[in-house]
Amino acid sequence: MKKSSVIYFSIITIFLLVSFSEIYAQGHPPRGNKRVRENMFVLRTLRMTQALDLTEAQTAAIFPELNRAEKEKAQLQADLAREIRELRQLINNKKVEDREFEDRVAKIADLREKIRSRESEFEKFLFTQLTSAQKARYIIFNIDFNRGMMERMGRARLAGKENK
Amino acid sequence: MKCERAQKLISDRLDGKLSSWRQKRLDRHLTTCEVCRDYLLSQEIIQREALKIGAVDYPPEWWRQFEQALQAKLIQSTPGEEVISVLPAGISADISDIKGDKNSNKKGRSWAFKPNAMQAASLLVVVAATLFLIIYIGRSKNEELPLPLILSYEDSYFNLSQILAEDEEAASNLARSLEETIIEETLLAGPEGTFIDIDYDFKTDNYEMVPEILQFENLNSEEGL
Repeated sequence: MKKSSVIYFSIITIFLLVSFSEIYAQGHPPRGNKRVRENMFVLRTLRMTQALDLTEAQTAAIFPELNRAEKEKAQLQADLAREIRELRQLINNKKVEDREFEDRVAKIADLREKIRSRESEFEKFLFTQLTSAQKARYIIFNIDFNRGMMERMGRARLAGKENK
Repeated sequence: MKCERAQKLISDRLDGKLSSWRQKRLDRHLTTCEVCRDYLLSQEIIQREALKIGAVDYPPEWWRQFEQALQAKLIQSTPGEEVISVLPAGISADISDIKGDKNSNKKGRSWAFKPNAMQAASLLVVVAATLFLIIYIGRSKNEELPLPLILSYEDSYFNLSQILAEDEEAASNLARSLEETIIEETLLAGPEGTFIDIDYDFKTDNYEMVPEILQFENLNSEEGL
């Protein structure tokens, strides 16, 4: 094989690999996000159990519902993330009709509503199982945990930037 | 050109160190600034008179006393007072005349402000504190979410996931950091720690040994509790 043919072949291969990797990256959710969701749930459950000082009877009642809610909400969040990813791509496409946008926006609004509704449903159930002090502790725990996650994410992003 | 800069150039000109380009700039300034023209005149008088003075031959004791007296007067003098003259009477009079003219026509005197070390240090501290506050507040604003968003775990997660979707490395770092905390906290809890019956099959990338407490799927509810 001639030297020039090898060079052309290499260039075409690299171009195809880069193109496919970009197409793949656009169409698929980041792999890290699924692990983040799962790990956040495990850590949140662990800390909630400690923060609320749940009894065995309470955990036996709460955890099955907690697991069910998490599965449903995780699926809804994944659907919402996909819809938003696709919407980002649509916005850049000038040929998309208004009808398409309307449908997408309605779908996103519906998913958001479903997530809120499911979260609210679980919290209502949770509050039937908790004492007044535990309910108060849950509110504070929730705020602290969410803020802690944002701070942790900030550190993770900073670490990424420093490594670059 | 500012008067402060022009007066530095005047000093250089009298020392014969001024380039032709700067000389032109200075001349341009002098045509418009009366304060600097007066300054130039006073400096020329001082230089002319100084050149007339021959080498002085006083004993070291005299110089010591002169220095002490000068320092004492400098300490006593306040910014509003006349500057102490150590020049011969004739020169002092010439300069006083020029100053008299200048006082009646005060303009462009900003060059007279010369902060001392303490003022400069204070200014530096204030600037550093202001910069720190701007950076700190800016960063806090980025990291913190409004209360209604923090109250909802799902809204907070959604916001977080949207940021992480654009930063795969940060997502991976965060996942790893969460794993480490989970392992740490469950190890700290010990074998009698709280059992958590979670459906997720918790897997770690970095740890081969996963504590029994986290092997949820391998335990049935009776064994676990």
